[in-house]
Amino acid sequence: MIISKKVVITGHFGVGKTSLFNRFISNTFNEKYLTTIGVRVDKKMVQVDGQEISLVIWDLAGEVSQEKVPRSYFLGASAIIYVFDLSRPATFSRLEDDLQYIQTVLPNVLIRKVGNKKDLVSDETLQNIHQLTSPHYFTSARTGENVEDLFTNIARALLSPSSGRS
Amino acid sequence: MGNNSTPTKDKILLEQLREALLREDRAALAELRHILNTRKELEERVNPIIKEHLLELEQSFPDAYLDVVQKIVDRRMHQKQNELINILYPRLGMMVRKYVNSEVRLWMERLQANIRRTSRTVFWSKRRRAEEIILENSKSIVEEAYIVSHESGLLLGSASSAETVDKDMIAGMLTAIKAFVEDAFKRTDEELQGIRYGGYEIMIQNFFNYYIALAIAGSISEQERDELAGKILQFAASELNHDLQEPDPVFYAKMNTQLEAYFIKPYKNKPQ
Repeated sequence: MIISKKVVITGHFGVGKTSLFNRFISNTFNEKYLTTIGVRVDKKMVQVDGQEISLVIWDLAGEVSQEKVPRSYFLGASAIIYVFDLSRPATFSRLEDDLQYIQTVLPNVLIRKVGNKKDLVSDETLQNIHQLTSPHYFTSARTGENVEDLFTNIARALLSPSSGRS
Repeated sequence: MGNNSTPTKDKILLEQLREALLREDRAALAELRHILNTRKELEERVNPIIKEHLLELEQSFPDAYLDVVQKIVDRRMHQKQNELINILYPRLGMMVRKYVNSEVRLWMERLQANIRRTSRTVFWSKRRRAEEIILENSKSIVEEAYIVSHESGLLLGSASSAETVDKDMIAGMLTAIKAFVEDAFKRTDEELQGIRYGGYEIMIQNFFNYYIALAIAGSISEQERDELAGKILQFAASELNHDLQEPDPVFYAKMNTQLEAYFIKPYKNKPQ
């Protein structure tokens, strides 16, 4: 049996979490679950260096911490993808607080900070945001840029837990 | 010549002297050898000493070694906490279930006795027949069985009688729904124990760090539900009595086979 790992996609409302999810996975479950119970779960097999891993991805609706998302949705996750919208600074203004919250729930979890909607901002803006947030990836769910790389990177880090924790 | 005969004579005399002096020692040595080489003789002499020491150890053990033993037990229990809980959880469940069942049975018996006293025999015989017909016609079947990690929602084992949507996704969504319900109605420490929709039911039995879910098609009687609950506890007690933090592929394969044997096969062969 192939190794399965839970990956949670979180971030503020409208940052493109579901678009990233859809871009990576040809989804089976209807999106209405997101508005009813605030989460949608799907799976994708990823092959890295000849090894296969099953990423069970939880797409959380809306906010990161607060009262809106049950804490239990985060539990047992091996990796967190924190998504923010490069075109809306408000979505990364609380980045440090949000990451701190995640780390209190999951102290040793692998975190990837992802600035999404790369196609909507200039290179200069990207540079400024990079200095401010030090993201691991700039992605565009619309064009698909870096989406596959992001998940492959996570899969690789999960297969060799000693690498890429920060 | 005289010079040659003297040492020989001395030697003989010395030998005779040694023989005279060591005769008793040699006899004692021979006896000692006999004791050592004869098990019975040796036991007769050594056993009382061993018994005496054992008795002494038995009496002084609690004082002398209590702390050491306590430390070893504590350390072992701490290391194997999850394993212990996984062993105890289903067994406690079985004990509680047994107690509740016997209490309910007693209550039912008293109730039925009271009702019988006040009702006509004909009515009851017809009703019993009607119940039998309903039970005969009710077709319930366990279609799917899952073992899922409480926290991550990751699948630990599964078996099904037919092809379904991806099992990892089902396990994930089921865990999300469970977490949502338990979180939204957190008035008590209760856990979600089942979901009913139309002619289907998902029966959930919670354990310490995993839960078992059975997807049942068709109507299920209380007696059948009770039997299945017992079977789940039995399964957990015998198959899942160790740490489930890092299950390996061998574990997954074994769980799939065992789930099939416990829950799917008996229903496949069940006369309808």
